[in-house]
Amino acid sequence: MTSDDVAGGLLDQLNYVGGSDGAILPPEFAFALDFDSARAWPDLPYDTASPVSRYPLESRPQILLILEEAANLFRSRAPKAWIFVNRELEGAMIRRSSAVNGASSSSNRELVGTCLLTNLDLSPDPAVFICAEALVHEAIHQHLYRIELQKGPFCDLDDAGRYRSPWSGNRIPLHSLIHASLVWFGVLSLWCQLARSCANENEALSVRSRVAPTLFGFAFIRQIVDSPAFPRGSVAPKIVELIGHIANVATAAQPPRDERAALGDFLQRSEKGEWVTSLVSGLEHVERSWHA
Amino acid sequence: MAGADVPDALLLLYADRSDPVARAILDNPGRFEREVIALSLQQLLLEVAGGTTWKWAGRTIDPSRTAVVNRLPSLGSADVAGQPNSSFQRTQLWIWLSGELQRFAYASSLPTASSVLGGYGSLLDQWLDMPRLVGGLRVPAHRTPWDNAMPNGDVYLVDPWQLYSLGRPISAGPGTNAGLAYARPAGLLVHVAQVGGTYFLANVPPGMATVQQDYITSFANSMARLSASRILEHAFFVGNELPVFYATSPVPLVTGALASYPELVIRGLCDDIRRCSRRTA
Repeated sequence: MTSDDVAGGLLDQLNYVGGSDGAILPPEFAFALDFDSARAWPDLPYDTASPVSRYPLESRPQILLILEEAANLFRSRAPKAWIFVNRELEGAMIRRSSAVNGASSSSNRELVGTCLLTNLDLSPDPAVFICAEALVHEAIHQHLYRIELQKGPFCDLDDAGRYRSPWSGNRIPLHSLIHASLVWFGVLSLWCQLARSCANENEALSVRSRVAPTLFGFAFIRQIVDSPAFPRGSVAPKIVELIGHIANVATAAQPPRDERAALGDFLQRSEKGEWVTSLVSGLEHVERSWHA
Repeated sequence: MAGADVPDALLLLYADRSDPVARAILDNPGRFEREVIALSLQQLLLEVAGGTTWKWAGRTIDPSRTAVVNRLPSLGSADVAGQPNSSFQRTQLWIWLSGELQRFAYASSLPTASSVLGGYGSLLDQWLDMPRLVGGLRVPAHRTPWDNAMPNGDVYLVDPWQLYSLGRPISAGPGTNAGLAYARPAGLLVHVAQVGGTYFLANVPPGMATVQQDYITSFANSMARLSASRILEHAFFVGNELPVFYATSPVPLVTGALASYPELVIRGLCDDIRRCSRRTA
């Protein structure tokens, strides 16, 4: 059964806003890059063990460059996420496949510690952001798998239903939706941290285009969990409570109760940058009020 | 007649004056037992300041004393007048509405992840979720994206987001196999217009059995009890057996054109606000 401590500890691990707090930062990725192994990933539309899915030697510098830029981004602008990624990931398999649309990343509870990055070279611009998000996203999955191995699963892993994810719009298994709720919270905090140091409007636009749908998911996850179609009894009560709590972050960038400007004006101001300060406060509030 | 506990104003939020529900309210403001305030999406954005109470045109709208009729369509479609141009702002507005409408004494629907207007999502969402909401509901046999087993029978392919389309027979010949495959039930489509606990059936085929009518009215009664979306149009296939649910939508595309629809909106809303507002609950 998931306890108060586990739920509270999760929240601490999923907020990457802030500096390194004096911690020594790894100079480079601490995990191994696997371009060539014969390891077969369990649930993919292509075979990771096949030589066809390997990048040819001449293409690998392009992949390594994206990873290096991601490492620089983490070190200089998101140190907490950098420490987390290096702690959780032991290896990253790098593959390519025409069976997967565009860039994609994967985790699987049968391969704890390892993530798979497919078609990293096809990441839309800026590729470094896509890579950074993928690494944090998959590192969070590893963290959650490890907790579940130690303390028991967050939900009934045999539940056969499929439930609408408010993030992707797809119907996904129960355990995937539970993980998604926690993963997106961490990813949101990564974007929030990066938004504090955007170099230009293009970067800011890119960050906003990821933050908005992530907040959107949190605005509706409670409605989904509360619906009669959702098997609440199959999820650890503390996890249901935690998801309901972190969903409050959806309102962080909304007009305050004493707002007197027209709604449209507020939305414009928010888009121009006010949302960043509001979301930083909102994330802090979510973490603090859980422990209160 | 409105009692002391029921909301003293009705706020209509709309984007399209020709929406049958909006039109019924705009054409008959004196019949709703309370003051009617109508705000277009553009007015909502440009003229309303939303704090604890809303301020608009020098007046105060107190959500705790107001019933809101939400007729705002999904943002992002090109034909929605007055919506913000920016995707970030549209998403923020959608989120704002989802929280804000919950503060009203009565809401005809709350936004969901699939529509600002509420409702129950795509055909696939409905066929998976509605039987869990209304026990025993019969829905078409269908293929899910995670289980490729094709249903038996007269198989059609349909865009799951086109709630008013039956799609095309898979046997119709070459073409894409994309879409939701389902076995089309036998019979004709019967529509049900529902506002709260008030409803009527349309397109009832001659000779429809009492047990078939009872099946549909039992569904409508369950929805009156359980649904957060209070204004819906349902479609059922009615053949020789018990009806099969096809879809429910917050847009009354078929029944909204009938002469009796405005009266349903007026009576249904007055009754539902009286029965279901939080202040009387």
